[in-house]
Amino acid sequence: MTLRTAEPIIAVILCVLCVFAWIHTGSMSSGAQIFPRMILAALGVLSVIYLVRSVMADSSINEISLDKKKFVFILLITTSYVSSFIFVGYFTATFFYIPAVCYALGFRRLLYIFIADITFLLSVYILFVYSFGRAVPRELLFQIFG
Amino acid sequence: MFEQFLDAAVALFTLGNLLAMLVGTVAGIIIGALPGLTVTVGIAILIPLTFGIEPLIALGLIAGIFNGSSYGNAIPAILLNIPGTPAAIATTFDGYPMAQSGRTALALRVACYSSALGGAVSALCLMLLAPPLALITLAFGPAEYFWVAVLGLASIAILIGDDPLKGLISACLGLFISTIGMDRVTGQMRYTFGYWELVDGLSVVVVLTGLFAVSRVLLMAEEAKTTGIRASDLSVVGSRVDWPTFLSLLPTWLRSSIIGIVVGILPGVGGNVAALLSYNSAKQAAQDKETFGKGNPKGVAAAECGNSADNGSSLIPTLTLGVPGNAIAALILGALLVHGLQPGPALFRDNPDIVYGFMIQMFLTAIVLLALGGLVATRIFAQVLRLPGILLVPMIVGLTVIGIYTTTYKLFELYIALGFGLLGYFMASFRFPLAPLVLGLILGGMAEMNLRMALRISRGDWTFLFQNRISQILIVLIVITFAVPAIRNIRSHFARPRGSAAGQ
Repeated sequence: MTLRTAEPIIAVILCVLCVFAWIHTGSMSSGAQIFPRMILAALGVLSVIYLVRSVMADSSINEISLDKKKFVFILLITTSYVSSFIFVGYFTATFFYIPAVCYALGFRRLLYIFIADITFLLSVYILFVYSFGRAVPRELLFQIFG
Repeated sequence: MFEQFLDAAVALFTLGNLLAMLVGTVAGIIIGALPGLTVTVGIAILIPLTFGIEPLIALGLIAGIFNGSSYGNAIPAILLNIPGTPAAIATTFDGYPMAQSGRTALALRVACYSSALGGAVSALCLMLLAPPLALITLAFGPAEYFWVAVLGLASIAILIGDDPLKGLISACLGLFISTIGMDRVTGQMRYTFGYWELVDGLSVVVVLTGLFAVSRVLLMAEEAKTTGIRASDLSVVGSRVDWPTFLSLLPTWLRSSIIGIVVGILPGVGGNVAALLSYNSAKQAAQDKETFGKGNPKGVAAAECGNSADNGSSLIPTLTLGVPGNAIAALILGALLVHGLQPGPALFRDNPDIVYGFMIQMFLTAIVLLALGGLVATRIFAQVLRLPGILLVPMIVGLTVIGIYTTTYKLFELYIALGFGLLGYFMASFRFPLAPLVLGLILGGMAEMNLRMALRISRGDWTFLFQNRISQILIVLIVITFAVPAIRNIRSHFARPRGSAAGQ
């Protein structure tokens, strides 16, 4: 993907956002709508300028390298981790999350990963649970066996 | 003022505070040394982690990270010719040639002394200038504060990146996001779409962490290498700084400190500009100009002193007006807000122990660098470069998750952070600066409240915003800020034909 192809799309998305948000201000009282409308008017004008500029831009604009495979993977696994840690417990979820990310991103020295994983979790435990007394979600394993 | 500094200094000398400054400085050096990690990422991760601990301890950690990272950046710049941040680019010019010629230890020592000195002088400047400036701001009313917010935002949006249009769009997005939640005057919901979690608006900390830490993780996952640097590439050899060298560096340090301080006060101009200006100034003033770029210690001293000297001074507008001049200052403002501290004159009046204490911490952490920047310590810090970058990716996510969760205890906030991480990733990929968005979010509330207060005082008369002398000065400054890109364009337009003609 190049900036030349992406920029008009971004500009159109911004314009649509402005129109949608402006319509939404119609349900607000006059006092509450002043500031959002001021911003949306400015953002709308800037988006139109951006659209015009991106359409008329020089075609020799740099390529953007987006490694979609790694990006999609890290996003999926991180979303799963964020969604699950509250149910399975922070330490259990993180114990599996760290090796999963490292392994999938190409780092496969398991002993190295294991040591880093344990060191990280111990540090977090000492800092948050032991020193700061913060409450973290209860570990599922402890719920089952405890 | 002196009494307040004395009281704050006494309160500061507790084991917890001293330990916080030490740990923060060590963490800052490590963060700075690791390519891919920046001080903004470090502070963004730290802010939610410090929630619930004493404000002064939290600020001690932040001050340590801020000053420590200035020196940490120099380690890969000198050893490997890798500037971890733009601020360390100028350090590579002479630092790496010094390392190549077997003077690594000297280069690192000079960098350490220069960072410590620049940071300390800048902190002194902060201590001297911030309290009287805070008193001046007492003359500001709602109209003036509205224009201050506009000026702060416009200067960051226009000056921080290469593209003022993208900076302004980013700032407008931040302002728009600041309107989400319950309107504080009418109690009406704005853009909450039925989600009660959005009633209080978006948490600045959650947005900051998402934008800077989560987005960085996504970018690091693409860039990070599976292997670290080899131990043989990290050897620190050479001599120490002898007395004649030390004396020869004094004028460079003095000049670079002044440049760094002035650049730091200016909004939107970062440590990279301070470092480059200092480097050029040292080169111009030197009698041995031809040795610059080939391993002249003055080059390292100028770059490191310049980029550290903007640390403390960049906090002057943040602490006095609540208007941060760059992304790091915005993060520190966020940290103050998390601990219930509103920057401005009230901060100096109501919490003198904290604000004066923080300024002293900025000074002390710069001094701590001298102790930590020894050769043995530097050899140890350099070893973090052997850590494969990939390992940091899940660890940053783990710290972010625990930090945000134990701050809010809401899963919804983690999704918000993830969402802003995605937004930050795309913005960085499409070269939109992130700092104006953060500033828009922080300053949006201030701008709106003061605008509406001014309109209420004037019974809806918009001309009230333009009547005061201070407001008029601020408006002139805003106009000048908007004119800068136009002036730049005109200058480059006229410079181009002359350059090409010369080339022919």
